[in-house]
Amino acid sequence: MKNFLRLLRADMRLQTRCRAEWVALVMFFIIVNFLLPFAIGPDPELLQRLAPGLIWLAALLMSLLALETLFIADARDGTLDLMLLSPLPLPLIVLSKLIAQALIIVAGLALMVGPAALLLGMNLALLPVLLLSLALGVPVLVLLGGVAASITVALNRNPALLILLLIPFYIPVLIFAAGACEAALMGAPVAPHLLLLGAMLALLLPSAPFVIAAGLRSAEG
Amino acid sequence: MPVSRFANPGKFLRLADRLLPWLGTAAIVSFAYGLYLALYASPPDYQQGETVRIMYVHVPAAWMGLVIYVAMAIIAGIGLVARHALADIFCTAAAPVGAVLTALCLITGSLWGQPTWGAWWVWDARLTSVLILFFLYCGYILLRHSFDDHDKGGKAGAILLLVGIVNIPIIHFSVLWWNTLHQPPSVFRLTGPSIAPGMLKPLLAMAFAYLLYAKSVILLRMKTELLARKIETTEMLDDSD
Repeated sequence: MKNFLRLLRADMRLQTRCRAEWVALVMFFIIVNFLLPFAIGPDPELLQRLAPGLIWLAALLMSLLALETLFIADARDGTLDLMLLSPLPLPLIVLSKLIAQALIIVAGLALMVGPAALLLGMNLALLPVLLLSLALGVPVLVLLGGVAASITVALNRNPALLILLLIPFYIPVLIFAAGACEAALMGAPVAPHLLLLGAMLALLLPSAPFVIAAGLRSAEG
Repeated sequence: MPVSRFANPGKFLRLADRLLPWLGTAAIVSFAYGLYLALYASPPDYQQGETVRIMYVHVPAAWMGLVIYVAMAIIAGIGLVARHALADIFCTAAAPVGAVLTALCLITGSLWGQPTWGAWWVWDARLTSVLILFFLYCGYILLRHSFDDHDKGGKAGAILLLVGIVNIPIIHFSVLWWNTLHQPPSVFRLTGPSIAPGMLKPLLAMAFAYLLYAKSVILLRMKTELLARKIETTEMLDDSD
């Protein structure tokens, strides 16, 4: 446990030190939100209606962008070999990496969802539900993304393939998250949607690291 | 273990050679019989008229699309655990067959939807699920073909298939739920709650024909895949000399 926390701290530090990368991700999120009104027109009513879905779509694209390099940089500089040789169990190392990645994305979103909501003229009463759905949903995206990243790591770099692999698995997350926002908009209970997102997270958190570890081992083996 | 006997590619090839002519003939015969029943010897629907005959091509394609995916996932799982040499060969050979049948299901569904619903595509839960299944197939095929190393590629593909099979119920359920939030499903129900016996017989005959077709094509493709890999190995050995 102590080693795990130490590892997590190191991973967090690694993530926060690459500030340029993080800023680029956050800017990407804002730019997608900024471009959408040009694509669908500046009608405030339409934008307000679509805002939660658009923000979620931007968050999903941003996670995809972040995942593209998840294990590839480690494979290139040899960190991955050290991870495989480490006395710590590989799933634990993977878990720490994914937690750091998810935290950094959620932190960026927490900062930027407010401004994005203002840009799109979203009903601000929705903001807590939207943030909660992002806090539950983005880690699910990262865990699923880790699986796809681990099985494509031997291919070095193929972002289009990664996206194709992930889209089917991302659909339920998008559905439940958008469902929560929609329910909040209609005044219906949001708990079932958020609970389902939470259930997906609870299912993936203990299982995905093992799958990812298997994927990494077969890539290096 | 009777299955592991066929892990020997030579034995498998001999068995495949003996089975293929029978399976192929049976597939052709059952297609002829099924199509005769479906196109002539079955009643037109009282509401949809003759367009209902699309069903006999459409529904078995959907069934086979799903059946092949499940079979691939189960065999990939066995392959991962037991390191059966033929598991990856089966998955590589079966994936395009499943993808084509799923695409056939989507295309015939679209052709059927136009006259009955008045739209080529609707965001019905079942349609969306089949489209997602098609994407799963595409992802697997592209992933598998991106690897030069069959050992690594097979493992990566097997992991994807296993994650996919766990997720298929979640995806299906979520899409169903999503759709019912937006529009009542009763509008876009494909068939009534029960199917007339005059239609059930041709449907089952066609399903049987599809099954035999898939089996013979997959067996043939497995044979080709085995031979292709043998050639690859021989070429590699020649290069190293």
